[in-house]
Amino acid sequence: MAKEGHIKVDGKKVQRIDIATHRQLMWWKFRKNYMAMIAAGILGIFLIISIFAEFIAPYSSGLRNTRYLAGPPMSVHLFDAKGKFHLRPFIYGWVNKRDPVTLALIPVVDTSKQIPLSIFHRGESYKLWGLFKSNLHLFGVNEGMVNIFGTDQIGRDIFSRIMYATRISLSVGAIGVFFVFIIGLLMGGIAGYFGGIADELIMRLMEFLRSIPTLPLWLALAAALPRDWSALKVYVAILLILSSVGWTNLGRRVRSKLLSIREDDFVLSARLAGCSDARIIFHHMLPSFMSYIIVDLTVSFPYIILAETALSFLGLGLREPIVSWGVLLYSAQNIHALAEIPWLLITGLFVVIAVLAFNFMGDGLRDAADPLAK
Amino acid sequence: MSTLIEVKDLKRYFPVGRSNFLGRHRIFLRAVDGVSFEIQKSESLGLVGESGSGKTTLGRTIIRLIEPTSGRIIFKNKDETIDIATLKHNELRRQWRHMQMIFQDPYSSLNQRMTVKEIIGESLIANRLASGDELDERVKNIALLCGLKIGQLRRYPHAFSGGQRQRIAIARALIMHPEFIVCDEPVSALDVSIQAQILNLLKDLQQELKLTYLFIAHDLGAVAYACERVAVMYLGRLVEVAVTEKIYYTPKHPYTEALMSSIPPDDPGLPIKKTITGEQPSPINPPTGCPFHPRCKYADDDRCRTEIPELYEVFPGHFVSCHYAESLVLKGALHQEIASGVEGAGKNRVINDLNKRRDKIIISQSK
Amino acid sequence: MEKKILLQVKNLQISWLFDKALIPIVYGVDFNLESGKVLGLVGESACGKSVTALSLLRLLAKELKIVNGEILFWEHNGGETIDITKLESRGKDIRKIRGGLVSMIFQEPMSSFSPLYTIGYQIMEVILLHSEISKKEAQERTIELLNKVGIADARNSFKSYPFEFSGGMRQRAMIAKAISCNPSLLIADEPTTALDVTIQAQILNLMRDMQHEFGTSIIFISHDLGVVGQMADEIAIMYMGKIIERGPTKEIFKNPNHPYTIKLLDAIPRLGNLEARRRLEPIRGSVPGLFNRPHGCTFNDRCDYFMSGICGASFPELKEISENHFVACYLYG
Repeated sequence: MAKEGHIKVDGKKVQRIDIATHRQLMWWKFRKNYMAMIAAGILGIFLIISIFAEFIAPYSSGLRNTRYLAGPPMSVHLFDAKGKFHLRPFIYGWVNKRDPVTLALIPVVDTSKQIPLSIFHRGESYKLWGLFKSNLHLFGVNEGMVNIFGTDQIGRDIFSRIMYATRISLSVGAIGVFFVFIIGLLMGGIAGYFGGIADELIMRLMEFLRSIPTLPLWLALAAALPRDWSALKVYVAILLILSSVGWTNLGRRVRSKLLSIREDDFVLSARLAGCSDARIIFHHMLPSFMSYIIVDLTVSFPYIILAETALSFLGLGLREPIVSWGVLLYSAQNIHALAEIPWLLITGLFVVIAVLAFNFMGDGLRDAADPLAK
Repeated sequence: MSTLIEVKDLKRYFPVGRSNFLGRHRIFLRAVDGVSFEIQKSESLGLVGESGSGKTTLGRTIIRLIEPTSGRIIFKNKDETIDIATLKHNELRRQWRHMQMIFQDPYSSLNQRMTVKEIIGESLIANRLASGDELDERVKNIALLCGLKIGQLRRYPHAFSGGQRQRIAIARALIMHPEFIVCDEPVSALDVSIQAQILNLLKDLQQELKLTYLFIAHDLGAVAYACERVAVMYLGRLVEVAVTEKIYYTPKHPYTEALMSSIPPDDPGLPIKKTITGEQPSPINPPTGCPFHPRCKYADDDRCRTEIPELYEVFPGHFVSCHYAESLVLKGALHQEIASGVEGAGKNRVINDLNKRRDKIIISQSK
Repeated sequence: MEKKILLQVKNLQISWLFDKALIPIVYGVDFNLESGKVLGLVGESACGKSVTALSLLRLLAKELKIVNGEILFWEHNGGETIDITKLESRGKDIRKIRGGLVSMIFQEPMSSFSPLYTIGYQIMEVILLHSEISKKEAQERTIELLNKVGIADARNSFKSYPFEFSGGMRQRAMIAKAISCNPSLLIADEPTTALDVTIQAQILNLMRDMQHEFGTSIIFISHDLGVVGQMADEIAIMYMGKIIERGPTKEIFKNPNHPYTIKLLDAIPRLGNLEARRRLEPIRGSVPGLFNRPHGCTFNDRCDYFMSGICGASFPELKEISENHFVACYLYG
């Protein structure tokens, strides 16, 4: 630890670690964990995607490429068929040809035609966050459409749809975790600090909620939502359903932590210093285990995302025109679609990467939560 | 000398196991079982006993960090007399400005997320009694008094060694200028060489600030050095209270004698003493009669087995709870003049010798 | 009596692998132990005394490495000499030594017994591992041992689980386990620190009795000079990974030479003369951290007799100043 070096404070040399706050110590420890740092980087990219989905996606989630139905991913090239290098990446054009046996129209790559990609392309206009009008996209083509992850049965661009779905799925996770955090902290805090009857009631409620198998409960609740609700209403309702069950873990953790540190020396010492109950809770007790709660929340993030994905996959969660990873996977349900359009499963890859990244970051945070341990 | 604290028949029972369906407990751990004693102003009263004797619970109950089951704790402060056991929550918070505690483990008693300045000044900050320059000034004064450096106040506890942390904890306890401090094993988590520093500091502060200590420890050596009077506790009861020299050299209770014979002698050449057998019974199910009788080598009649002895004054200022305190002849720790080469006359010889050697070497170097 | 050397430690150096750097923990320790004698290893926390002891059994954590030195162990009945540093730390040879020729008692006996098996079973297991006797004989021997270490009703206690024992009883059982195979050397690492003073006295008496009966050599590690003084024939005082003074117990107490030893003896409250109630003489400062090791003599920043230009140069050698009494200090140069 001594290698963190010295800095000058009030003209005196001071070891940096000596005046480092707990948060700094955690960061120094966290950044030594490469896997967690990579995971954090990936999640950072996901965050940028969900903030700037309109800009990164070349098209809106509903726009159809009617001339390229169920089209395979278009690969981006730098070298043409003759091996000549092009500074500007390009895609090949395609022509629809009839299969001689089934007589269905199939897109076939036409290497004679090169369509260059343009960066910061002016294309379809949109409103960023529903506020700022723009038509700037990260990339696009001047001729036809570019579908680097291919298109679905009705010709919608899968890449664009995944970008929008990332925003929705992560926001479900984030808002869900926020609800879980509020409910868990409140319920666990009441149970742990006041004890008595409140504790008994809350504990029984937690046990009841935990004894119900979650998937059937979600299914029942989700199925009870009126079909005529708007997509946005459904979105909020699904969030509430997921967090209403998800808070029990955190509530339990908060309660047991509060109970175990209530008699700790530093809490007794704070009482002796004449601190009010509020100061003891918010200044002494909560900060002492807040890092563990953040770890818990990081780990519960993927559970909420997976739960939403599962519900939507079963057709009971979010609905078009809101697209989430679950909604996208819903269309990859039948064997026909899987055999004919396997690129629909690229969405699944995003889900796996996100879940893994959250878990690795959670592990890193857990180690960093106790920064002075060896 | 006047009395600062008077404890009367204090009890603290902890319920054990789950309550029955009426919410009542039937089994209790009698951590403190009817304790009465007085602490004089500006004295240091030692409280010794084995683990499980209830000494920590007693210390915490007196300042009401633990609620007493019954009994009175009279605190005589200037003109007013308060029964701490009946104070309301808010009054208690104010009363804590007069009574503080120093904990055993300075690693767990300091909040890791606060700077040393915040830790020491918390009473002032939390009750909005001082801020800005006044806060700085008061924190600095008390920190200096406790042997801390002003330049270190911006640091966090992790930058300090155990001894320095204990200094911070002492400064924190002293910031409101309390009269009474419970020192709960204040040096037993520290290294031998640091223990002496902290013991000396506590002693200096006591003299300077006219503090009154209840000094809880299992280390009989530290207590002998730090306290004028000592109370010996066994299974939730006081068995002997007297001036330190009396307790150590002429004990009147067989348990005190056993404790004294267990201390390793100062001089390794001395013969080893026979100690008592057996272990302290559980305070959930204490023996009938005198709690010490199963281990006592002098107990052999029904009176010890059936009748609980009361604490009474055998000699002026010497309290014992033993039926036979007057007739027993007991041995204490060995009273001797010079225990080793570094004490007394031997000590000066050693220091002179070292200084002479040093001077000789320095002179030969400079040539 | 003829002096038979049982254990010889030569220039033992142990380092801690931290951030790809080797940080020295034990910095060149030398001592001999004659068979049947008790050596006390005294020092403050983090002075390297426990690490030294663990290295004798190659039980060091994997971040700790023996970087130099020899630990020579004489196996008297076989006449062989083993260098423990050369053995594989997971090999068959070291396993034969552990528990058989050398056994260990730890500070916290709760963690040295598995909570899943009875005390008796765990002692019996050690006996069966190291000797060729039947299960029945091993059981009888275990009960006999439990009896010997003063556990009442040994036959029933054989079937008790560790949590049913009090701290003192567990330490007794630990001693029974340690002496079950008649080891030549017993390493006791702070065996009484977690115990109350009356129980401590009982355990010390027991260890002394066992030592007289079996003639086992003991390395007794403690921070408490008073306790070590009762047990040891010879005392070695460690400070920051070095032995700074070593000699016969009485000599160390009566005639300490190293300034640190003198200060250490002076810092202990003594009961001999309470009326005098003098001030304790503390050692100023505190033990420097692992990353702030002073140059030269490691005690020089706390020493009252610091000599500039001498003490800061290099660590002084251990010198024999009287028979069997060694001091590492430039004052005795």
